[in-house]
Amino acid sequence: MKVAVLFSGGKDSTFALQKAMEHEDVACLISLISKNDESYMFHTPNIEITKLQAMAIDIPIIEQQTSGQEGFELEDLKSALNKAIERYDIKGVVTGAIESVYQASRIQKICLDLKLWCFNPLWKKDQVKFLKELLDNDYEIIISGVFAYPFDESWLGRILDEQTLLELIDYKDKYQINPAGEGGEIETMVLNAPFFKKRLVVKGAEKQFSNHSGIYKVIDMHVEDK
Amino acid sequence: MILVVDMTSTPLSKFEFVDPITKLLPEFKVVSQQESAKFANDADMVIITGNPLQSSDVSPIGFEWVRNYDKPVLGICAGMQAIGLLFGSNLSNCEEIGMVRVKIDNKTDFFDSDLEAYSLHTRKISLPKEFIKVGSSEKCIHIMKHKMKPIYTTQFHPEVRNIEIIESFVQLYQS
Repeated sequence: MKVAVLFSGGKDSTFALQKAMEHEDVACLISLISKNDESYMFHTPNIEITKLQAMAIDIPIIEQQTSGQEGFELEDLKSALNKAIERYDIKGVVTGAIESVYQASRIQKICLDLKLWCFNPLWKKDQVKFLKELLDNDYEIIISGVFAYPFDESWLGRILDEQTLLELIDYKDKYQINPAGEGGEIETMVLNAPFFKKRLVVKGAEKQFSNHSGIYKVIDMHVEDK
Repeated sequence: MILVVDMTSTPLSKFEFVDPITKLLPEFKVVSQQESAKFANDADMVIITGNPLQSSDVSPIGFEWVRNYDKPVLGICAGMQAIGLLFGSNLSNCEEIGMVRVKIDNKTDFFDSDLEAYSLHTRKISLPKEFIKVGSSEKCIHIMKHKMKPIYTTQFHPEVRNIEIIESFVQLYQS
């Protein structure tokens, strides 16, 4: 089946893409470029990077602008899906949803309206096991956003490795942080994964941080051979 | 051993509708609807999963063994509909996607208080005469139980927000 993958460039949608590629025919990625930093539906830090990621993966990408306001975001998603149907004849959509019933049910409704299959291969996945699986599969991931206590500025741009994972588990035990960021506590960016044809390298970035909340804004990035 | 009957038909759907259930179980075997008759007698209990919205209407074919089965069965969403059809229910349209409020109409075993539950369906079934209605939303029956046998069904997906239901089912009947 030809499918589109809703892609933000973070670990969840990238792993969902990997699963989709293992089992279906991924025709394109869909990325919602939100002007709203506090989007109701979509992962927002560094979303422009998805074009470079798509290049590294060698899959076409449909980028859809959205104001990011509740109610309008879904119409924008519907427009993007209609473009994917028109251009690539997709029959299904894959998302990286893990826990959010809010997000999952809204996308399910849109898929039902458009007569598309909806797949959520990460649904209810154990968060710590998921992070370990990413590391075991040699994913290169950086922390691109933090949005909760007790994260500080030092977390921005940090590589997700064994040490980082241990600290996230510690935060889970002490502060009830969702280690994979399911409560919106952290956002990530994938620089490399086993199925990437090339890898991404960050050449310049700035940290914007205040009061346990901040983003790692990539200013310069390029794609290089693996 | 808990037999898990997989009602999905696409590989990606198994991650979504089967794995969240099996991760709650101590020992399990996953089979298809067509294979279920062959393995049911070796199991201590059976759980029948749900499936994606876009799946075709369920059929009870392959579940005839349930009529004469005395061990516990839990049918979830498509599993509920298959069991209902087996016992003579009718299918009709009913769309519920997202969280719904399920009111308990008749308390039984581990269903004793109203709950919020995740629904993902476009069809509903009528109540077969061998079953009692345990719980319902504004739109449809959500929980039913066979009057004589340990057969329970839920239209909602307990593996999403009500895992205690699956855990209680397993604990209640685990030998």
